[in-house]
Amino acid sequence: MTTHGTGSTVAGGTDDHSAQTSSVATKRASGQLLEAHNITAGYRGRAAIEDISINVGHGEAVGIIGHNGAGKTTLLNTMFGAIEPMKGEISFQGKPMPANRQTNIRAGLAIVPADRFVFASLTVKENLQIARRNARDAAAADSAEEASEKLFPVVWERQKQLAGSLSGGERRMLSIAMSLMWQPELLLLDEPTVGLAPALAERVFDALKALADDRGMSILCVEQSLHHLLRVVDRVYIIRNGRLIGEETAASLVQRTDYWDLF
Amino acid sequence: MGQYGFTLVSGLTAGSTYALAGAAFGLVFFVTGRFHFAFGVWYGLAGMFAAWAVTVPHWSKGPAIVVALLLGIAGGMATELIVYRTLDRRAGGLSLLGVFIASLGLVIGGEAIMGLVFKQAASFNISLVPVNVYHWATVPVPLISLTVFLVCWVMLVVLYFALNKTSLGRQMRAVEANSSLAADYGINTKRIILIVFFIVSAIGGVLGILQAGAYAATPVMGENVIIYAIVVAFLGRNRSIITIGLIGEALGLIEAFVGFKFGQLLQSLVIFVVLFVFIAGISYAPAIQAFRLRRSATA
Repeated sequence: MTTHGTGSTVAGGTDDHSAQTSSVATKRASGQLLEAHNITAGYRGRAAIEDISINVGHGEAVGIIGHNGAGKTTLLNTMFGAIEPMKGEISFQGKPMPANRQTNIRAGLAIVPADRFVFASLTVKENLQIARRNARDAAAADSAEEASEKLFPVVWERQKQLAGSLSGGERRMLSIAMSLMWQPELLLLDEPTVGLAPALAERVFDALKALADDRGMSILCVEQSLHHLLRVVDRVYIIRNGRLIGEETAASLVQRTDYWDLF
Repeated sequence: MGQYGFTLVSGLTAGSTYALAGAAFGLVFFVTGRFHFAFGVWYGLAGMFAAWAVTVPHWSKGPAIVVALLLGIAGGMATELIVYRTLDRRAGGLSLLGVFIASLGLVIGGEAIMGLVFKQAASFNISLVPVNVYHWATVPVPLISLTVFLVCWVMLVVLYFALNKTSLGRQMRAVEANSSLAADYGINTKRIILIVFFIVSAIGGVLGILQAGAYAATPVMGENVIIYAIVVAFLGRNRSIITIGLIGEALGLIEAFVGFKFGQLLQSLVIFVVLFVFIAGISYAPAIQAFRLRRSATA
């Protein structure tokens, strides 16, 4: 096991589970919002992630990194309830979380998937209307819409356009705007900058930073670009071959000269 | 003029039923991904039952139509709930093929059962409207033809507005665009699919009853409609319901005029010719485009 900087623990290339139990000094608000214990999950009986335990506190932004095929998306989808874990328990706001996306959306979860994240054949307005259905009531939806309009004005300027005709960055902003329509407690993001030009990726992360810092929204974000991720998150989980190999604070990761051992 | 006019009316009447059947088949295929051949069975059952109930046990028209419609709707929804979903759960990657084969089996089995119950050569008719004939200039327009045309187009327009202007319609289009993403945004995709089956089966029921009123109901009446429905649905893919309606009408007119000019054998063939021309057009479109680009580059 290797340790980098203050308060960071990484299992250096092994499947050492003791790394999971390491304590990390983080900026955490009171209590845990999402807690997952010893989660094993996958597809058609084959585990893609094994024995993973993670948590996200109220108002905390947490990252997940790992190489391609490490199991990051599976973990995120399991946290959202899209995949039923084979083993382990997940609780959200202190209550057991079912593998049911609708129930979890009502409880305050939202996800922005990695690809095909908007309904391309529907207009921008129709995409937003679909998301708006999940708001508690009309007043909450109006307020979310207003806030989202300030954050992503370009999306609101193009309401009549087909979502499929937007640029990659605009589509990504639309998908985040859609997820904000029901004012979720925890926003799950799967590689929000994939396929985006650097300037657009920067704008997407500006918006995420505003959500985390100004509104105290909890965020769990899978991202390959550490440069972007570390602008927003407080700490990062590291996954390799379907197992959690460690956890580091953003502060300690920033001080690193390279990240090779993380991937 | 009189014969051309009559052919025009026949083509428009048949075309409106092809249009509605195509819109229904397209809705179920593109939203749910099911190749719902069994649409023809429930269409046939509704038409057959309504006409049989009026003719044999002498029910009055209202209850016969209502029960026939309910049977068609229940059959369609049961097909989804009992057959297709079970195949989805159990057949894994082969569920599309499984649904296709099961649906085909339902058509064959359903028609055989209807043949046994209602007698193989049975042909019943239900008088939906009085046998009046109006005249538009010199063209005779039977009231039943006008009724079929109007009912089909009203249903097409309602379907157009339901899909484009209501929350339920948006959800259907969202499931059509990406069902996994739709679930990520809180849409109950299974419920939406069941609602689609409800709507499509209701349309099938209405069409079956109209067919029984305009022509006759037979145990195998569902076979023809499904062919036309598939052709119209594929020709109208990614187009609005209204455009699908116009495609159905065009098909009805082509079929009617080919029949009028060249006889019934060619009339049956024309539908396949149209489909093959369309498929060839799709297949060769990239090659034609490349040829044009090359020619414009060398010009």
